[in-house]
Amino acid sequence: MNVFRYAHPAVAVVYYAIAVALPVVRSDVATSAVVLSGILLQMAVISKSVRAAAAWTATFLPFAALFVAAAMLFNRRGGHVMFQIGGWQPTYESALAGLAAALTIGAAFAAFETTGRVVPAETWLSVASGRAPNVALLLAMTVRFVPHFRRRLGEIALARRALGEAVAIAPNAFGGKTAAMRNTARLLGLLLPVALEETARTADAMTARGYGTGPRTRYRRFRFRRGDAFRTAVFAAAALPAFGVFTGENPVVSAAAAAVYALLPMVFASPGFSGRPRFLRGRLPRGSRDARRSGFLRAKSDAGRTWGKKQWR
Amino acid sequence: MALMRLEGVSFRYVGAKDFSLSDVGLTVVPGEFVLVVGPSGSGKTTLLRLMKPGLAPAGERRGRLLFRGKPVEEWPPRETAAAVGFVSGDPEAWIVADEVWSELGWTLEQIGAPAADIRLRVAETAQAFGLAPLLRRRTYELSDGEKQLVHLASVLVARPELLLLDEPVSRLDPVSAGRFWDVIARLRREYGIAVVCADHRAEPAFAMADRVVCLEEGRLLWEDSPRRAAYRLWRSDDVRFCEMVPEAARVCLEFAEAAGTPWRPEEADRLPLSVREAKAWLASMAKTDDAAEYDAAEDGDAENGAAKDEIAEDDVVEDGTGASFRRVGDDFGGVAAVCRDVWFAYTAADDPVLRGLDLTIRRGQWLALLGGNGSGKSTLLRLIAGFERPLRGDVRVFGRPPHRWKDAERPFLAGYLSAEPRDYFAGETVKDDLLAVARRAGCGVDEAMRLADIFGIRRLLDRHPHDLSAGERQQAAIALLLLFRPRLLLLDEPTFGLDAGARRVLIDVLRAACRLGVAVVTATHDLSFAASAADRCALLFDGDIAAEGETDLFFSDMFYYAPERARIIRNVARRSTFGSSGRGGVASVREEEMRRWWIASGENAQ
Repeated sequence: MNVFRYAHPAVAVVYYAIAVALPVVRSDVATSAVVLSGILLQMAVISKSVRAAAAWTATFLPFAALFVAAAMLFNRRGGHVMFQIGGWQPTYESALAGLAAALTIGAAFAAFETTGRVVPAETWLSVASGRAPNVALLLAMTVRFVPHFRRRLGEIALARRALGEAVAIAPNAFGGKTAAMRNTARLLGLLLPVALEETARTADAMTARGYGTGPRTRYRRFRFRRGDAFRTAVFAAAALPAFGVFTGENPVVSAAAAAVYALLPMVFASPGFSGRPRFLRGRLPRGSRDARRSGFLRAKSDAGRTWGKKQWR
Repeated sequence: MALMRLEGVSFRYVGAKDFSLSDVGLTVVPGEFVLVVGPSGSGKTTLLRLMKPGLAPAGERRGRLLFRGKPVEEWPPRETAAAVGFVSGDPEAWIVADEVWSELGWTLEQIGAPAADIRLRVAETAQAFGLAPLLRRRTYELSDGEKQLVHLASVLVARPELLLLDEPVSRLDPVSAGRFWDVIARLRREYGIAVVCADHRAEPAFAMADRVVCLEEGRLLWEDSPRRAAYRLWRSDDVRFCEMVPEAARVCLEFAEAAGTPWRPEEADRLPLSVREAKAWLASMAKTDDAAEYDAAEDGDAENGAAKDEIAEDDVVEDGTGASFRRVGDDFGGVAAVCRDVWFAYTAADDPVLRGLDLTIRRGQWLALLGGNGSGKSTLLRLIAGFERPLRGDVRVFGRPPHRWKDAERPFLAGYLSAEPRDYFAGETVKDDLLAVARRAGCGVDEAMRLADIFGIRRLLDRHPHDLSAGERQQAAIALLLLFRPRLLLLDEPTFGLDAGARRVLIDVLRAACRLGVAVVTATHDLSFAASAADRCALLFDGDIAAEGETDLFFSDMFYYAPERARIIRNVARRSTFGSSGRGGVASVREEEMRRWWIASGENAQ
């Protein structure tokens, strides 16, 4: 389940930007830990399995240990000495500072990764296509063709092997390294005409469908609606106490506020709460009247209906 | 008024000597379905492309093409981009966008339709064709059948008046193809869209068409009503045309001929075109005594044929094995390959494609693997060829796990043809590849040329492999594999793009190989090919073999997943009723040639 599925991608971007900023500004262990675990929880929810979050944690832990060790080695501040080996007196404060730094960086990386999961590359492109439609199209096609040609390269290698040639990228190829490299170069040479032919066909398809016949419209999938603005505002407001705006420097309160912030999307962006807030309801966003007539909006909201209570209103 | 009118259209590709189309005149009125038939290379695709201005190939055109009374080149490109839709049989290359959603809106975006319109049209099209569940999927993740429907829908979003279909179902399994034709039928019935469809094997299209146009070598031979067209095709002396007759009509025509009362030309209008009509006609015939006689005659034939078969096979396997297989070792008890409890997934995260599959492939036997798109047919072939190794279970081919084979010995053991025959060519001309492979296979130049003759591809030898048609490329690639004289042939969709004549060649050649003890495995969607050529059929479903058996018994057990012929004669099924081509009976001239070619090499190798 994607907690931001029902919102404009910008909402997710703002949310995670705040989530990255929070530990950086606060730089205390509790807040950072809360934010990080919240984001990991979201990651698990979004990918519908604990595995991704667990794998992430597994790579993070040694990294965190390294950070703490480095802090203990080089950070001389603090009054509570842990132990003493020769002239080296690591302090609890330095270890905590190292942990906080590790958690802050960890939270940032986790936030990037989760943003990537919530807002896939195509969505970025489709949002960007308003500004530079041709660049966006080019990028989108590149994104599509890279895996395609990688697959085709594999198929060509297979065909060569079927005709008894040893091919480098194959797992059980034989022959020395030079032979392998020569083979690979040759395979790429074989891919080139295939790629050209296939792109020519795609170009045909584009021409057949009116590409380059004049100015094009942009058919936006994502519109920043009032509900999105509202949600962004709520997220920003919820982050304020965690930043210490009304609460001062109390780390416990700040961590609690951070926990609220981290859990907020689960509740707030879930399908049940997907609609506009009550005071905005009854008015459709601009430009959707035609769509409503065509039955499209109805069909679209049907998907979320069983979750919410709107069905019976 | 005519929607599209061609007046004396001739066309010659850049640099070509001959005209690909000469003096073609054709009129399409609104709401009409025109089916264009003809052997491959007869100019069907060129004709369709000329009708779609953005796609017209480069070359010299003569004559006039009028769309709604005005020459096509005078229409603003934006209007024709929407009003004339082109659907190709290769959706993979024709899908432009990465998500179904944007693919559907693509055309309208390009022609500058207002955003609200686009939203509405995408929405209604998606609803009307049941694509709503796919909207957010990535286009490259879809199955072939889904891709083709999305491709069609992305054209229909622009509300075309004329739809051009270029072999639209050639890559689809029978079930997805059926779904595609259902949509087309609905478009005609409910929306009155005119359709021009080019196909060399299109049973449902035949039943749907208003008119059938026949092309040969760029000339329009005739146009006629579908029933009379079927009769004309049947009457023509050319086997390539006979094989284009829809199955339902063919069964009845064959039946009538076997009963000694050939179909009369004046009754051509009553020729059945659908399973229902054919069944009704057969039932009416069964009331007369002719039918009983026919059955009796067929019974006799079948038995004789089977008996002859056995003798012949014994014979041939003897001398065939002796001559050509001495160099590769023992017989392995007649078994070529065994799969035992095979599990396979492409990555650990994917669902397994094969789930505990068991299969035995015998020497001298032709096995047709059937199953929908994505049922694991291709995967199974790759496993048997040793390009993948099973996650669990055991694959053994000639007693060894095939993934341990050395690349250099593989083609002598198993000839594997992937679904992309284009990949088998690396040279500048077909001849380059043929000779390079022949050298590796230890085959002389003469031998290679003789094989090219048997396949009838000699005229292609000086052409660039990428300039060949799909069918020609397919034949040439199979010829490359046969140069090694493999003991096992694994062919993925070998009939793709083949016209009737080429199919016949392929069947003869593979039959000859079978008789020499080669095991042949073909993964195919083409049920009538499987029914007429294979000894055994196996249906892959849910990662395992759901059913396997001797072809006739196999198809008589099937109800939905059976070729038209089997559905028509379900209750009259006889072995020989399937065997219209090759299986059993006397070997054809080409089969004999192939056999001699194969054995000759064995002697050379001694």
